[in-house]
Amino acid sequence: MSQWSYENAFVCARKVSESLSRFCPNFPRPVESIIDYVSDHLKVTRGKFIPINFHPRIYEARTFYGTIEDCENKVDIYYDLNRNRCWKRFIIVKELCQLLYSSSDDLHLSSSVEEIDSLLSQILAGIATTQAATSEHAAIVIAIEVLLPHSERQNVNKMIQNKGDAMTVAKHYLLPAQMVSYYLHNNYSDMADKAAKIDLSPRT
Amino acid sequence: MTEKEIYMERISRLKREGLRDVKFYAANIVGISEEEAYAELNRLHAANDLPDREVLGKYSPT
Repeated sequence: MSQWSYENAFVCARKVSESLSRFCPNFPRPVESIIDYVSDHLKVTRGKFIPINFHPRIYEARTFYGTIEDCENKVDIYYDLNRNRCWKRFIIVKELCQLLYSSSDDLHLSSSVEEIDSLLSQILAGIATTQAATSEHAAIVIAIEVLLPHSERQNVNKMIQNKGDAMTVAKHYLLPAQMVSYYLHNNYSDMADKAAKIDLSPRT
Repeated sequence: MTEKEIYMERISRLKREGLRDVKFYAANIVGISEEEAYAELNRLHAANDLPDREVLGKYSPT
């Protein structure tokens, strides 16, 4: 049973975003700083330095915007260089977010040939009820919150009130307008609100 | 060899080298056949790295 509910994803997103805001307070958040953060996280959780290698490539992408291969001694992130800046930022951050919980939850790992074949079949069939699909959705939520955290909602609402739209917000925070539309959705906002009210201070 | 066999051979090799996990960011899946999907992944892995300093900063491949 996966522990990756949307609620958990929002709480994880909040923790990441709050940690990031301490040394990366300005927006749009530089991807470089997010990479630094994830590198530090991997060092702590895996007990050694794990290099993260990036592979921007041109390969006539139609279906796969990016992929991540997480190995014992390195991580490789491949992505489509032909996307616009906002999409590239989002793809990279989303793949990095996979690392933020994969290191603490080995249950969802899919590293055998059969499991990867199954994962790809599910993706191609558009099935979204599997554990793998859930972890994908969780990574997307965390990536949105890293680039456009709930704590920015007041500023975002001001932009919208001043005749802005999802595209205006997307251009300011440099993430895809499609993701801003999710962020502006009532259900998303409610879940983020709920996560924001949870007491995250360490228990004594 | 089929595109799928080529890709799975890569995964088998990586598995022997310590692969923990693979994830994909897939979009536009409607109408894509399995063979086309694997062909795209094989094109991705056959391509060369290019710089993307604007987004990656110091982490951009040179």
